[in-house]
Amino acid sequence: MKKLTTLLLISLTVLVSACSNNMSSDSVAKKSMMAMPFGTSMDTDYAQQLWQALNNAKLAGNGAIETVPYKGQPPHGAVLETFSSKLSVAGHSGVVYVKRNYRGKDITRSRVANNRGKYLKAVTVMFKREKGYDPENKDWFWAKYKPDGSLHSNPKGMLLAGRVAKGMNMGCISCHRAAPGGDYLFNNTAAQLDH
Amino acid sequence: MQTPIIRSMMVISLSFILFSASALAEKPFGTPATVNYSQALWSVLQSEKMVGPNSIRSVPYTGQAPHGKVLQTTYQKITVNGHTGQVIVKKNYGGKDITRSRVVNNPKKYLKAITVMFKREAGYDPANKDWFWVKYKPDGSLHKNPKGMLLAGRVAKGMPQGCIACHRGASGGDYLFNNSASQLDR
Repeated sequence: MKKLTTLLLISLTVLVSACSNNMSSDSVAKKSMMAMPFGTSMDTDYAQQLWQALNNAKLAGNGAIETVPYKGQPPHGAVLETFSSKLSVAGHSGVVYVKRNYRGKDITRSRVANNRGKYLKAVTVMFKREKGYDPENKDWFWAKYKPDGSLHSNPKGMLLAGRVAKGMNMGCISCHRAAPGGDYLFNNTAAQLDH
Repeated sequence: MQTPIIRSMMVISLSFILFSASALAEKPFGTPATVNYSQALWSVLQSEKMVGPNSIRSVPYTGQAPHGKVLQTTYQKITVNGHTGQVIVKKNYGGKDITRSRVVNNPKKYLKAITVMFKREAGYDPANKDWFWVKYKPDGSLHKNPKGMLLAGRVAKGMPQGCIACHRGASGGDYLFNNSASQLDR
């Protein structure tokens, strides 16, 4: 009888501790998901919807609108094209900035104008999300697409979509925070364009 | 059957009709037909968000006469009255105190003209690569030249000044300055 009770107690303890272990590892996973500011499945799903909307608006993909390519700089590219417009994604309407990043060994502006596909390395996008998405950073959603609409990743393998890279000392947010207009946009400010 | 008077009247009116028709056909731009076409083109440009208050914006760059001190140019394929061709839309900004950032933050204040080249069907103007040229005001109506001719059509074919005369000098032979190496890589 005593033996049986001890056995029961032990197995109960094991069961309870296993359960609580399970629960705590679950909540840790949830917490890290919540804390991860970009590259989650929610971010990549949203990035796909955004890419589709950009294609429909002829801001990305085959047959997209073009402009006169201008000289850029790292980290974006030696030659750039940038557009802005209003866009609706999943029922939310906001302003979108689309930058085509061109790079290549022999790059010139005219070579890009005559053969964009050869030099296009990335399409970087800022989309103004709903209020509260990232209030400390003006609610921008950031994405770095490959020309086919899939996502670039950072050196750690994290996909570049979402609040990139909130809390880190490199990446979209940490650099764009310095834009003098306070809106994370360099080309809208007097200081940048009138140099 | 017909009296000589009626016969000569018919001859006179026929030759008058023929004469005015040929005069119309000779006029390379600013005719009712080219004005109508420019209106159809404008409404496509609006629905494609290339013109109008909700149009797609690009980064303004420093321009020059005769277009403007600051410019925005976009390219696309569009379809007008069943014909699909390349279109180039240039927003021409001017003003005393103009800078690129002022244009970004208040485009309406500085927008003076929207100049457009649309590649028409083969044979429209074979001597000049079949471009249709327009100079719109911001509201979609047309600018005129000093003689009062509306600027839409083959502007200004046969004249020493105007779109064609200047754009003929583009080094790529396509009447486009910004597609050619020599211009962009300077």
